[in-house]
Amino acid sequence: MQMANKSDFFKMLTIAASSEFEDVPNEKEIEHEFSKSFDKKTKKIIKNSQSTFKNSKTLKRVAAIFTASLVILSASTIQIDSLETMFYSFFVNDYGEYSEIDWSGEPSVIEKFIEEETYIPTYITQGYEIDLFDSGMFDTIILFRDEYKNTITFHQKVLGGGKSNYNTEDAELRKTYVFEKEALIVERDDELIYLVFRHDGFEFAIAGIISEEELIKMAESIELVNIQEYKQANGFD
Amino acid sequence: MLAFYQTLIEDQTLKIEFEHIYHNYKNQMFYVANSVLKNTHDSEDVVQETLASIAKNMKSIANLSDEVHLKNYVLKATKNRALNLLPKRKKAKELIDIDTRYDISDDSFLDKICDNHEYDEILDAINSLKSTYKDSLYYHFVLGYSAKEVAIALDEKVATIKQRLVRGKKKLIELLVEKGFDANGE
Repeated sequence: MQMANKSDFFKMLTIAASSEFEDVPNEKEIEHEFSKSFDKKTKKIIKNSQSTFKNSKTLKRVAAIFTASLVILSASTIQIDSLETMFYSFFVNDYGEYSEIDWSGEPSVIEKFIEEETYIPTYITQGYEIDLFDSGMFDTIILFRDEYKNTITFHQKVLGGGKSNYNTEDAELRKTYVFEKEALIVERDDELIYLVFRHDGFEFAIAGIISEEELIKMAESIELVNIQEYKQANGFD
Repeated sequence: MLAFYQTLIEDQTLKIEFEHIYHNYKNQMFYVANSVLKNTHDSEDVVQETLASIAKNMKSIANLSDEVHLKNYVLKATKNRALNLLPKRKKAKELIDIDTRYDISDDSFLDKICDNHEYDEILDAINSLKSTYKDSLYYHFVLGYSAKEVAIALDEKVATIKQRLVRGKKKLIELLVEKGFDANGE
């Protein structure tokens, strides 16, 4: 005879509660194509849900904080004239404290989301190792650290609206090239340097206290990988 | 700085968890809803409503300890929403009157159930319960949810859930008595 205790009782309730879904096929075995309106509405729900997570930061804010510099600012709150510079394929509006990059001249990518695959840099500056990985529909963030706790942040994001703001106070902006397309280098007084570029309909920012050459080398090493497999391989599952 | 990172991780978890649910359960949610409603359009609506409710309640959902509980939460929430669309269920929802005459405290209930009977006997009794009672007991005792939290998860009135908990506890004790278990443990 096996007598039950409270823990057994909870286990039994769990078994009983789970049994009704035993026959539900695995997620990937269910062949249902959701209607276009479902996808549209659900994306809206997910977008709105970001503000529902009361204390949460959006991923782009998180990325900004990780780099300690890429602070996303609201252009509408700061009324100063900008120095508009065209970098052939995009505009940089330099407001002094921050700069707005306007990709809207590029093909629209507003509806493109990160799904099963994301880009990752296959080349990492020597001495750095992956420390954090996070990928969602709107962003992928990878944080690399060296033994002195210096960081390099890699950020892939959906170009909703086609504009991004970066903290460029006391910084020098200049043009460079990634995959033979114009990109932006921001070099700040505090030695932090970041590279902003667009590829395959996404915006990327790589930031760290490393050389411009290293940033570009990392940028041009990006490759698409399966998110789950990458997570597993790097112990983030 | 550490405090900042802790906050960051906590907040991030909610978002990651929500996206995990969306990517890993939306087809199963549809399957469950469609099994009840047999209507693609209504089933997609149910999935959407359930996702919206989940998004609003991520803080309590993120505390679920493992994938089994997460799956149960998501699919039960979906199924109950689908059931609530059925005309028969809609009517029944109007008739809620909590009968507290047989209510016993959770501690007293657990004392009566545990340590006085065989494992298989109680498992049989649980399996004999109606799923509405079984689910309410599961949410309350295993997931540790209050009646209000269960009501939010299942899209029911708090009074309905309180009623199900009272009746579920009573029914389980009755079933064990019928099977020869003395509720007083004698």
